[in-house]
Amino acid sequence: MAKKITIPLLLVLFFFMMCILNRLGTNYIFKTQPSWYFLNAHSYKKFLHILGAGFGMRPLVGDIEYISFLQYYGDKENLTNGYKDLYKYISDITDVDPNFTFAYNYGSSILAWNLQRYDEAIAIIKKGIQYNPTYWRLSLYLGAIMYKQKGDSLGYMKLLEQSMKFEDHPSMLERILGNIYMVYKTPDEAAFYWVKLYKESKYKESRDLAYKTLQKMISEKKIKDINKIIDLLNK
Amino acid sequence: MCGLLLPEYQRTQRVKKIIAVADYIFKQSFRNKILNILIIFVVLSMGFSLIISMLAQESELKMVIDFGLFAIEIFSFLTIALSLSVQMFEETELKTVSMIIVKPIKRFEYIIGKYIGIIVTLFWNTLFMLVTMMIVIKLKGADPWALRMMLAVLYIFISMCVLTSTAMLLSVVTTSVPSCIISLFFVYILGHLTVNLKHLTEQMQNAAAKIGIDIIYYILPNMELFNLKDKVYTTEGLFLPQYFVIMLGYAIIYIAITLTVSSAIFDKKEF
Repeated sequence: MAKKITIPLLLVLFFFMMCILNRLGTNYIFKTQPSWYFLNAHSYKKFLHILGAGFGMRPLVGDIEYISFLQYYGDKENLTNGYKDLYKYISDITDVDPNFTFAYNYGSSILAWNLQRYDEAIAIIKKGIQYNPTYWRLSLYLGAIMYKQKGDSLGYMKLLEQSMKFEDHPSMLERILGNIYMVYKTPDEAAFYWVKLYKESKYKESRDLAYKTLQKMISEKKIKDINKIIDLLNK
Repeated sequence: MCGLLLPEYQRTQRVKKIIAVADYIFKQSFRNKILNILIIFVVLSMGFSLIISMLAQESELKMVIDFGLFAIEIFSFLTIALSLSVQMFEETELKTVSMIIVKPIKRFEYIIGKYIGIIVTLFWNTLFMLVTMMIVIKLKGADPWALRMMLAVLYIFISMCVLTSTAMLLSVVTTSVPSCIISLFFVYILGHLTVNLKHLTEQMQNAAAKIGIDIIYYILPNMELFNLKDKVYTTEGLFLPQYFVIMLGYAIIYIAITLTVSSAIFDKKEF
């Protein structure tokens, strides 16, 4: 008899405890997660994004969108229309995964340095800063793009150099900075940068470009101190 | 619950019986060919993540981790579904449950033993998947011991323990294997959406919708509580010790309730 009463009573008590813990856990989620984390009437435009958000797979869906973006950018046919949908592709990645910081860096770099679409690049970076206020490196990119828009070469060179100090910079920035040095610095200074890139860059494309550029500079006899450069390369 | 009040000898006997059932279920699961094929699939999918990550230029590691965590959750869910369908098929079609019930094993001991057996199977599967993912990460030249990633996997495992207890309840309530698996699938989907639904209702005025969603929210397992997969890279992640305590407490109580209810229903079932 006692068993018949005790067990249901304990079950009811446990159920209430479970409800309280569920509520506490949910409150933690409500408190710690930003508003975009939750599904609402206007939050997502694509079914895949809703699926990703609903099942906690935002980063994976973001990766899928990132691959679509790379394929779009890698397709030479899109060059004819100047990659007009590129902004939309970057937006799609960052809509579903606003914490995908590399997408802001990479997307805005292409828009600003390769396509000279500064307003779109700035809009992407500003979106990144809004969703990742503690990821301050984005502010460096924003500054560099703004200087580039104004044509202030010294200003953006300085900020790009600072951005390069971080491991997660897009590889294209290394090459962009090298090309900027070729225009604004002495051939020897530029050559030293290319040597450094050739020896230290983790990206094959950057190392290849550095090697080719150095070969060209040496053959054209642009560098004053060729021996030093060759010594550094052989070290 | 009343087992705690028993003399020590009886308690030891009870534990031995539960372990015997768990051991039987675990061996049965691993003898099953479908589950072995599933394990091969896990290795292949982790290998696939290595290939597909090559497409995500300069973001390969993120892709490997995201895909790996997703694969661990999906394959854990499939492990539960498959283990359960194998057990249910044997119980109902091959009548193995009749043989077990005539032995001096109480029905609730059978339920708890079965639950532990599935959890042990799940544990080894999850561990296997984690090690495979860690090898892939190592091959990519990154640190395979990243704490946040490990915690995300631990949370997935706990969520699957909760889902298994729900699956046990469904297996005693439903009458056939397909209905049990379909119900489990819906519980999994709704369990993930409850936090979003709760968030939506907080901005709503409709009282009936609020009550309806509250019922789902409190009765179904809240799978979103255990979801750290999409918070591995954020600063607002839920990697706080106090949150872990709440989440663990919720999981333990939920499992205790569902297993007690399952035992009570199974006790009244006729074979």
